[in-house]
Amino acid sequence: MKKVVILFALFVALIAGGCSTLQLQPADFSWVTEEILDVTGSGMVSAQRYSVEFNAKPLLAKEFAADSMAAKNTKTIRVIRDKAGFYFVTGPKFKNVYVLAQAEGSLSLNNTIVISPEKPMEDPKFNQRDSYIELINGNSKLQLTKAGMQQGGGK
Amino acid sequence: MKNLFIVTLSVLLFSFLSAQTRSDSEVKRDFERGFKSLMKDLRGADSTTIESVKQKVQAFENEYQEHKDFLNKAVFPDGYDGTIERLEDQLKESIELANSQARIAQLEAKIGELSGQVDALSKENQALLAELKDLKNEVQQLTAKVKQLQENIAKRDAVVFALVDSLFVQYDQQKLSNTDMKKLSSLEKNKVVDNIKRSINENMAFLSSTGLSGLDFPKMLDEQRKFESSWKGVGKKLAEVYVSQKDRSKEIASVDTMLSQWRGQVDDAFWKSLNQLFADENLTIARFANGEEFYKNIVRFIEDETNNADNRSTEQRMGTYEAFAYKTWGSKVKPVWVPVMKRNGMITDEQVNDIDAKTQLWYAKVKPGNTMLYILAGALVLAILVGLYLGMKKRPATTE
Repeated sequence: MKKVVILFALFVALIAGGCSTLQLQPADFSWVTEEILDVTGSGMVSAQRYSVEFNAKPLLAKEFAADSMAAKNTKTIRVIRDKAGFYFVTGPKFKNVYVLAQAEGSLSLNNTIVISPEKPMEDPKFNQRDSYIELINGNSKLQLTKAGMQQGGGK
Repeated sequence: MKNLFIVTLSVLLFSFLSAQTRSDSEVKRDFERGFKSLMKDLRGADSTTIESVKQKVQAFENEYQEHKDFLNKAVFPDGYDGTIERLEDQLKESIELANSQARIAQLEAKIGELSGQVDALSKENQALLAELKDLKNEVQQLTAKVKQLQENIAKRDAVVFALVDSLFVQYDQQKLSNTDMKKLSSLEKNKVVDNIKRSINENMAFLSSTGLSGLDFPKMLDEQRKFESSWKGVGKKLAEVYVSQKDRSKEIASVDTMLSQWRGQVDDAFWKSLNQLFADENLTIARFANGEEFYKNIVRFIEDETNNADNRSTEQRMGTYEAFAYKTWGSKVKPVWVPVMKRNGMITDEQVNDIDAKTQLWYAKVKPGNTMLYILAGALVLAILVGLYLGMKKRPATTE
């Protein structure tokens, strides 16, 4: 029995050692500034500087669920990436900021940060800051992370 | 006042808010746009606009200085520093270009001005050339006219005297003692005395006309003497014919007076012209007014030059010698003036020979020295003598 236990322990140790993932740290995926991207007729947007391209149509559909015309009339969106690699997306007439994570051949929604549930934002803008993403909405500046709005960020 | 304050405050507040709400990407965008716009302005700047563009560049740098760190990261690939450096480089280049353009503009203006002057001068020159051509033609015409006039006067003089001679010969051959009246009528008919007086007047007028050259005067003196000689023969005969005509007798006497005047004028012009010939070559020969003075002064001049040759440089004495021997005496005076002077008893062959001989002596004194030649010859003789001496010395003694 004792032998069996020892053999089992060795087997587990080998398996655990063989399955450990390689991690390169630290890594910084942040964009210096936001990218103001044009939405094409097919809903595609492209950040050429970073070689990133994705279909924004589902996002617009989600934002303007009840107003397909508003979705159609959206010509630009603003995108910025934080240090961790999460994409923050918003645009004129948006009420939310969407946090997206990179997946295999896609971007998947990680979080939806509600900014102005009553009144759509006129001209929201992102800034890259050390530990957060700054959102300028009119005269107010908000501190955003992938988890949501930080305390004391609103003005 | 209150309204103005509100408006100013609003503008300031708006500006403040605008500045506050500008996102980083907008700062970057504005920076990039500003850069492009300034580059365009700089490339199109000239000497009149470069200063204002320079100020704009300075203001641009100051405006974005506070975003320097951010822009260094955000603006790809040059960043803030690289972009500003490119701007500064372009500014320098544009300033140089503007300065060059200003200089080019100045040069072009100068070229334009000079071209104008060249055109004006060219036109003026054309006009002057045309004028010169006309004047040249006029001078040539004048010279030709003078020559023609001189020939005509001489011809006419000859014809007048030929006519008088013919008349007298004709009557003398007829040997008609009672033909005095006929002679008179024929002489009057042909206006012999009037023509002679007219000839003298014209000769004197010609003497004072322009267009005469120095070489014309010997010929004119010859002409005067010839006329005078002819008159001597004719005047006597005319006096005999007009012996009973008191008015005509007086006229014949007046011809003598006129001839004397003419002679005086011709002589005066002749000597003046000859004096001038030497003066033109800066030869300091004392002025002369007759043949004797001419001879004496020339001889004195040659002797002075010969005696003073040692006190002058080779160039000076050769220059003076050539001016006399080649440029005046040898080339002009002797071939043109001296024959006339000899013919008219102004100078003798002996005097001319004397001047030539003294000129030869003068040359012997002024010609370049042969010192070097003598030295070389001396050296040659010495070398031969030394050679001979050495040759004899080395010859072995003959044994007996």
